[in-house]
Amino acid sequence: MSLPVLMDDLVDRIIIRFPPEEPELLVRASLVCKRWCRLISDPAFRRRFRKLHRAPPMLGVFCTRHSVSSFVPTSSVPLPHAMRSNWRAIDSRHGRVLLRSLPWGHDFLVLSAGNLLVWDPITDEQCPLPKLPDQLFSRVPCTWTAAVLCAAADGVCDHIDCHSGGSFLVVFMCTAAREAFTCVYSSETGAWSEPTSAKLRHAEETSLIRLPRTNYRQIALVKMVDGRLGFSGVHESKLYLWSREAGSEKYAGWAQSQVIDLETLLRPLGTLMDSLDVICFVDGVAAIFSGTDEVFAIDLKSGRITKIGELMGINNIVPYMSFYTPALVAAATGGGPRA
Amino acid sequence: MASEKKVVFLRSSDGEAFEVSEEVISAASVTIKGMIDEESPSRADTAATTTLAIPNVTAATLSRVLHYVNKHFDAAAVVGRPDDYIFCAPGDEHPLARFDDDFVDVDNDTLIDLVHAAEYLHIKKLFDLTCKAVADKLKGRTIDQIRETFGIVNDYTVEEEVEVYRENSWAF
Repeated sequence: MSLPVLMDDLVDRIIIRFPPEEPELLVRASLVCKRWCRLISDPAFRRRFRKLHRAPPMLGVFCTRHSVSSFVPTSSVPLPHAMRSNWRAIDSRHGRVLLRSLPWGHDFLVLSAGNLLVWDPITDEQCPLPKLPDQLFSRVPCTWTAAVLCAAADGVCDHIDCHSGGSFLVVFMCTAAREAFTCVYSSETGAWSEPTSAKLRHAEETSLIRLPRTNYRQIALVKMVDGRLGFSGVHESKLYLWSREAGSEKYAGWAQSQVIDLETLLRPLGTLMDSLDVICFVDGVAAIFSGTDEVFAIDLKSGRITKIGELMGINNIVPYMSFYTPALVAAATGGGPRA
Repeated sequence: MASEKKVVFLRSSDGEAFEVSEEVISAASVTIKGMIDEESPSRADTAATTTLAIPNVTAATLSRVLHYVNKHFDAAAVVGRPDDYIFCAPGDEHPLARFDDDFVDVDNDTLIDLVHAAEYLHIKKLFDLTCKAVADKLKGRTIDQIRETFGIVNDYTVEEEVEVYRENSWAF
């Protein structure tokens, strides 16, 4: 059976299985001949490529040191807009990054108009968010956090291409001594919702989820394979994964689902086990840890370790997941019809 | 009464017949399941075993395919691991991962025969596995080596090649 026969019907099926975390393979394959190039640069191929691989790969992390957020690749992809001075990455999901500005001498708590920005680091499109409702900051001291996500629910949107043009939400939450406030920005209305509050120590504890008593210095939330909430923590060189049991009421409802011995995995790294902490979990892709003096990612499927950088001076780390299938404009126009 | 497991025979393009459990091959191959379903009204009340002709697949390839199918689709033989594993530490991989690696560790021609057989027999898992194995082989090759492997003539001009390199310098 001759190989060229294979290529006529199956080249597409084979190239589409190149791993999405190595997009350079697609670029190189497109140089084999113009037919391959037209195939790879066809938007329909890109859509199928993304659909087949489902979970977008982790391209790298946004790492904030002092007042600069810079992109540290864990893949071969150098993002074109890799550095943001005076902005700190807070969160990233579905291809978008949520940033907050860090103007010199600015009151750290109060966020005024334009202090929060939703950004697509591949296209450099950005959307400044309006000022948050004042009452959110009336009770000091408070701490806050925020998340960006696609506006469509998981079952409705596959979150593969929704960051280009789809609508998004930003969920802002701040907690004061006895109360937590939540407020949601919708890109469709262009406005923040009225804040809702939950009392933390009194009757209405519906939005509170208690964690089991554990010895972890730090925990990271995990989305379990079936979508349930989970969390993880490190204790005595082991990583513990807990998942929330279905149908639980206020108190009960956590089960340990997996324990991973990190010692053998991390021996080549030479990091001290008692200094190990989990920073975050990238659903189904990787877990990011801090060791004695560096930060590294462990691939959840292969156990492969990628060093991210020195721990010193890092304020926070936000992993960035997206498909990166570069346009091959010049090559694709060089003869023959484009699909 | 069919207390024993039903079997079918598959005859390869070069005339060799292979025995396989009807249940196992039906679970694996959409194509063969279709053939068996078509046959079944006529064989309902006969004891004769069915022989199906597989004209597109040679004996060498078919025996490999059945080896794979018996490993992957015989429920009694497959030992699963919990599906909720989030973190697969080394040594923790799926019990059949090692088998799969060895299965596709073959020369190019054999592998491509398997791709074609998996496509014809419509065995999705095997098709995925073998296509991925071809993709993995391509990963380690230079552009020239890929052209050579598939007998492809480079139809780029030097200027066009330079332009692609310039646009995507990060990829080289």
